[in-house]
Amino acid sequence: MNFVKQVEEQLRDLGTESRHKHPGVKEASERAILSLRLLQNKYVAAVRQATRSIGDGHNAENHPDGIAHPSSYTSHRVAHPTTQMFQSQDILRPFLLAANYPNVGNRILQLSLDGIQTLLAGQAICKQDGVHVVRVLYIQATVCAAAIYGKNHASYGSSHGVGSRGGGGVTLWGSMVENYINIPSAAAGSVVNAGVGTISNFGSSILSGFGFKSGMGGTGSHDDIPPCNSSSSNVSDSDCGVVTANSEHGHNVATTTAAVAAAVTDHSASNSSEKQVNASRSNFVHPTRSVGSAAHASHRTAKEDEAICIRLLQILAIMIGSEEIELSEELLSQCIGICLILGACASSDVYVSDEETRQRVNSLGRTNKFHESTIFKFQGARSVRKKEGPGGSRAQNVSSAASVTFRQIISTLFSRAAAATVATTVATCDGERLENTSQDDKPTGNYLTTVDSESFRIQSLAAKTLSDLCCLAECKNCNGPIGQALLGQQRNLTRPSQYVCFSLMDMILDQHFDLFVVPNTFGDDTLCFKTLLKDRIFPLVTRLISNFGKGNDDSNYSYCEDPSPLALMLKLTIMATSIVTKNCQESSLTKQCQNLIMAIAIPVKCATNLLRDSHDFEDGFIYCTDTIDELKHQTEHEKEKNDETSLTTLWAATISIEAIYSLVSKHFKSMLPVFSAKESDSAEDSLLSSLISIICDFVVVASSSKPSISKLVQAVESNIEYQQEEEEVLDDVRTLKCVPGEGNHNDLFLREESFVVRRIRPLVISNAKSMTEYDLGGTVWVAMNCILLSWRCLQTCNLNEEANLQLVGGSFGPSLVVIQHFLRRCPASETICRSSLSAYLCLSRVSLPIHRDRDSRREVILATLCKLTVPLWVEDDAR
Amino acid sequence: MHYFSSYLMLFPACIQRTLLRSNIMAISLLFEVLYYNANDIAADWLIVLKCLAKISELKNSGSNAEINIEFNLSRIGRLSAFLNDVSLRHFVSALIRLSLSDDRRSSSAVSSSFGRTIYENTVGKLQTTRFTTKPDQLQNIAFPLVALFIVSVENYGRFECFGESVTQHYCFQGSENDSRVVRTFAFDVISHSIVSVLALGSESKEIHLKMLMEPFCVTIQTTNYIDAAELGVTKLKQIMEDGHDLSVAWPLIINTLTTIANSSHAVADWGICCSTAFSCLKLMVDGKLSLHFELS
Repeated sequence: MNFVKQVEEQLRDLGTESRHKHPGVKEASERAILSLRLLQNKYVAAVRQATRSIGDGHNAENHPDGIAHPSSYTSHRVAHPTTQMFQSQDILRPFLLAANYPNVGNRILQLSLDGIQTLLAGQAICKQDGVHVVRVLYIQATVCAAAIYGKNHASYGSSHGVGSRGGGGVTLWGSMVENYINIPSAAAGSVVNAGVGTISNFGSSILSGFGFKSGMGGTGSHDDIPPCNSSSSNVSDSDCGVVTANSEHGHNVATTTAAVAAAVTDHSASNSSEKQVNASRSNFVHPTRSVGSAAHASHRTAKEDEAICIRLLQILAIMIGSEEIELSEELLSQCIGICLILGACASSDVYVSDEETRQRVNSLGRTNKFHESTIFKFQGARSVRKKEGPGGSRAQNVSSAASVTFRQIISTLFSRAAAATVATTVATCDGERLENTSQDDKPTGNYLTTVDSESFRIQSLAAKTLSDLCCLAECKNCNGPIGQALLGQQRNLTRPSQYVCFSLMDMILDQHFDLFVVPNTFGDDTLCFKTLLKDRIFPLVTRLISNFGKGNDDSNYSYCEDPSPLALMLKLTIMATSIVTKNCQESSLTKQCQNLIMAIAIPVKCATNLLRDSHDFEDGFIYCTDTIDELKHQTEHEKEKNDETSLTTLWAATISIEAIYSLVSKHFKSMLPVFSAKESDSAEDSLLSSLISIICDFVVVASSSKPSISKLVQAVESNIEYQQEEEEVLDDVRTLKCVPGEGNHNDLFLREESFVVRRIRPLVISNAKSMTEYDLGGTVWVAMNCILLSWRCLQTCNLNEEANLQLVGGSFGPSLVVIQHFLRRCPASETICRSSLSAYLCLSRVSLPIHRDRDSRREVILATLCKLTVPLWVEDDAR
Repeated sequence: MHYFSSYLMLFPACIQRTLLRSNIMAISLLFEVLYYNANDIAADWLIVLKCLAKISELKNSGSNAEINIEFNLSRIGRLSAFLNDVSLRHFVSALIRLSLSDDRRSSSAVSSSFGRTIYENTVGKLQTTRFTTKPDQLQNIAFPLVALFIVSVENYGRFECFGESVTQHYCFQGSENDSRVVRTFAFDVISHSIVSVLALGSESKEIHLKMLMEPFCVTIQTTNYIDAAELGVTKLKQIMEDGHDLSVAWPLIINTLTTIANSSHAVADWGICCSTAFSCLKLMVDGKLSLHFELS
């Protein structure tokens, strides 16, 4: 449909629909239609001019000298007009006005949102009006979130016998709405302030910027509206039905409708005391004060509220991505605020006290101490949500959509920042080029200045957002866009959890890594992404991962809504590996990468100590043909004993091992500068050596008792089953192969490689999030393969002697111990023996070529290997 | 190292008395290491060869994997051919050291052991010359001596690298070893070496010949075993009968024959030896005269 026709229809429908309840909207719609027609005429004229200019342009191209002159061409050529010509506050005003009413009906609100969406799609919203649009969206988001939560909670209460909480929820939301929607009315018109701290600085309402006056015809201007910072204006407007309330801070004025005002009368008394408590309790309490009840504000059904929420989020996403809307800090913070509000409407933890949470958990029958304190708290909450019925489902949908939109907003912001960086670079290049061109050929206007300021603003905004995420992840307050969004929040509204923050940081680093490699062009180090990465993100991730290893993780979960502590550990580890792999070639970040990788390894150390201290450590069990049956008849009692060890530490170790495994298996060559970084002055010291040593210790300690060896064998056998799906097990003949070599060597029969990287499935962590079915055997097996793979990678790298010595010098002994350990302790497991021997081969390939005086590695390798070949070997014979 | 050593102390020596699958895999791995890192083993060949010697005495049950081990063991000569000169010297030196410490097989059942093929190959190589050692007696020869012969055969082309030490070792075994079988085998090997080196026809033939003949002749002269001296002279005679040009070594040979003639031992004991020596002298004279006539 034609843009103009579509907008006109929407305006007409809006006017018709709101003529009884909101005559001001009807009036504004009529005026908007008039403006639209005027602009339509201008548009038609512009089209005609553009059509004419095409002909002129062709003529200009046919210049007598045969050369197309850019200056003459551009002076004649007029671009075809777009719908941007319809950018007018008059047209937007009725939509905003309608959406400004918290208690607006579904039909009117839908029409209003339709109109806003149409104008956004046509880029027909003024650059500076984005913030006004977001403010009304904020109002509706708050109202819808309150309504959804109320209905959701009532549903839960009725089905779980906690009906009182449902009412409580509504009341709480009512109080929140009161604080978010500050709704005094101005005598001259309806003004709204969405209640975010920074907005107050503007000191004006949405419509003040539109010059709207109730009952006044014609277009308004800023001058038509008196300043909205009057300290008190409790005036009723019979036409518009608006009431003005006091603002605690003079510069913060908001409006509400008469209906809401009426509701205020009923609820203000009951809510005032709570508001005071809230204000004293939270640092984030917004200073503005108003009244209203969400239960009264929304007359829509839950389904309608859900649909509106989704539409609000869609509009947000469009706005953030639109080049035509000025992406200011206020706009961004409002958008984030909306996402947080809608995201929280399904969160039980916002409203549920710790005591209630514990009750829920206990009702699920979980008695495990660890589970009670950590994961099942969240799992329980999630389980409850699932049972909540249609209301819960809607809340969940909205919450999920809000989370996705939040992510999308951040992503879009950084996309624009990346684009701005490119634009700056191009502009800088152009600038350098233009300096060498003649004055006449230079573009007119402050081209470079515009590009620079725009780029600076966007990049600055992105940098502040990233800084906020870092602060939130550190459990600190922040003052960037997210901080500003939180500033308007009340009570316990959940801040983005550490998990969410790290997810977002991970996404940013993943999608826009280019931002982190370009040098700072603005001179301000605090806005430099590279500096943020080095000084904030690296230390933060390193510290948190280290804390996991040391068991200090509980303190970080005071307000997180993560499914389990391991979810964060997983996320951090994934993020750490991602950061390290992307920055491993950057020499200035080598130390940071090294620290990060060592932090990843700390949980492995802790798990080793834990296992070493357990009473199961080292019972001398050997898995040989005589003891195979013993393992099969392992008692249930022994199995239970295994579960007593601290699962968190073990799971953390598993995650770390698999992270190291993936680093080694996929990025070994690129990671060499980091792996070879020295940790001390020793010539045989390196990060890789340290890692291998730590893992070796774990492997030996974790496979030194009957139960652990039993699990290891089970894990290996399950791995074999997987291999059998791909190919048949190699028989004796096939394990020996003819080496395709030179000369007569090709008739030498050698063993076939038994280690194939693709066969090793690091699937242990698939259960990590839920912390179920911990597989110590699988972990040991992956760790073993990690050691093997490290040596194999070293072998294929063809490093020189010096580099080899530095990389592996310190890990030679521990690796050999692991190999010997498995060969001695699991002689009945062919796969384990085979893998151990493969490791031996890699070890020998790397170590034997290192010729050093007094170097005993070669002798040790050969002596130990020879010892394995003959059954009746006397120790002295090895020498 | 300390870490490693202390760890190993935790475990007792292996107690299994049958060749386990893990042993078989380890043996295969050992061959792979030898194959890929042969030149990196350097002075540690002794450890490896000691192990191979033990493996050669183990019983082969006949499975495919074990047959392959036997085959790989028999290719030790081939393997040595790909060693560089330095490694070859280390290798030969290790074999000699091993031979000095362990010159006899602990088990005589060569036919069912992993060393069967290498012993069969040794017999096959010796058959190119007139050898005295009886095949059924060969199983009493220790693996290092057999392996040393096989390695020598594979590396005659660069005999100067290792030949001196090998010849001296075999001469020593031929002269001093208590076992008659070993002495006989040693002379067979020396004889084979001389013939093979002469057959090569290289520029350094004279040097090689001198390198071989000198210790050989000294052994004949100095041995206290009559059978050794007898065998030495017999081998000398066989070489001369085969028509090889030993003119470079005539002074040495004549000196050896003179020494035998002047022997202070009982004539009855040295009768055969003296007789063979005289035959040698006759061959030399005949050869010289015929050459003289041909020239004239």
